Amino acid sequence: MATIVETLTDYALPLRFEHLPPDVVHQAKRLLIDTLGCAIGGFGGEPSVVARALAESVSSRQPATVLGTGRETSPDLATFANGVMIRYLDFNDGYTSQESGHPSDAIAAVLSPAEIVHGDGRSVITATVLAYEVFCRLCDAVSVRARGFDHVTHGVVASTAGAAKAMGLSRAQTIQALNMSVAANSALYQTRIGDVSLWKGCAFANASRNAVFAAMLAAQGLTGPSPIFEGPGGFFNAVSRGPFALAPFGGDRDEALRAGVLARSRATRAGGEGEGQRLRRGESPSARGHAERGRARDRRGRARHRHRSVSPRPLEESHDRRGDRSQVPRAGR
Amino acid sequence: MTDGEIEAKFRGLAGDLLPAQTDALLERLWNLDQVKDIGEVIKMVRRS
Repeated sequence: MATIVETLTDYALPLRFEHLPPDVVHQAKRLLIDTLGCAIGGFGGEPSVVARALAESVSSRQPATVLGTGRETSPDLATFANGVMIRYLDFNDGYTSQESGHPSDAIAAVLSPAEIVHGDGRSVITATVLAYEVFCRLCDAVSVRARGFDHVTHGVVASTAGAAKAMGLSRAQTIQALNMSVAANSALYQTRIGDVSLWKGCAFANASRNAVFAAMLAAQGLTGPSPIFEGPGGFFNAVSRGPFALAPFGGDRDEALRAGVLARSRATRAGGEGEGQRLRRGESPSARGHAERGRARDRRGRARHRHRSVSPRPLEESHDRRGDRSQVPRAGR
Repeated sequence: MTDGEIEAKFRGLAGDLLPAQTDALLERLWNLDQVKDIGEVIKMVRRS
């Protein structure tokens, strides 16, 4: 049976822009516009100023650009500064499931890696969709908050997948980047509660920075421990306190065919198990499945009207608000 | 949110820092699948 890292990698590697349905491409553009707007709006925030000062004190022979100033730094520090600016206003999109967070935070880990390899717009769209798929399926699979871990523990996996994709890493390099990222980035939930500090706006940016760092190390041949989810000292035992399986990714044709749902039911589920998971247990596609798909379409329609459109709010913990689900792109072919 | 609302949000957030580039940046982002090098777009996000 494939490990979680192998499952993620074998979805990530073959994914091509040409596989994405037009509505997914369009939604990815909407999210990139929204996310860059949030970054520009967050430019003057206190942690943004700190992150830029640190980033711009470094020069690199493989430079990436800090948003807003146009100055160059190392790819990992550009990712951190850009990620802080994306998140500072807490005005970017949200995804609520078993675990919750802001999937667009991972876009910072796509932009700088894409920039250093002179990637085109299509590669950015594809890597963004991939990062969303990974983050949202992990959030659907398991909550880590109740065990004291922060959602950026999922975020680093999404950011690593996005960075590796944007850089064009091989299968072996992507696996090692994921192994390193998961081994090194179990972050604590105290970030969101108690004396909430400026770090709240930086935690996912830090995960994205570390994701880019891991991808760059993997590109140079460094390896990470495995099996990082399933091993005795891995994620299942240490973080999630139990094993989990990932629901089929958008456009995962074989899984979708087995589940009898194909690409037309690419809607986001409201948590709980998916059709594919029931199928793997030997249950047949059912009336329940049809009803669930109908509800999913309804939710998708409603979600279009719920995408955040309010003014920037003071920083506050908002992940328990069930009604704040934005529509996220699902890959398909 | 409609595409128009996304644009309005973007303009509201970006207008102060990037008044000169907002239209050009939006044009590039809506046509991101035609952009040859993402660095061109990233470098446009620079205060006027």
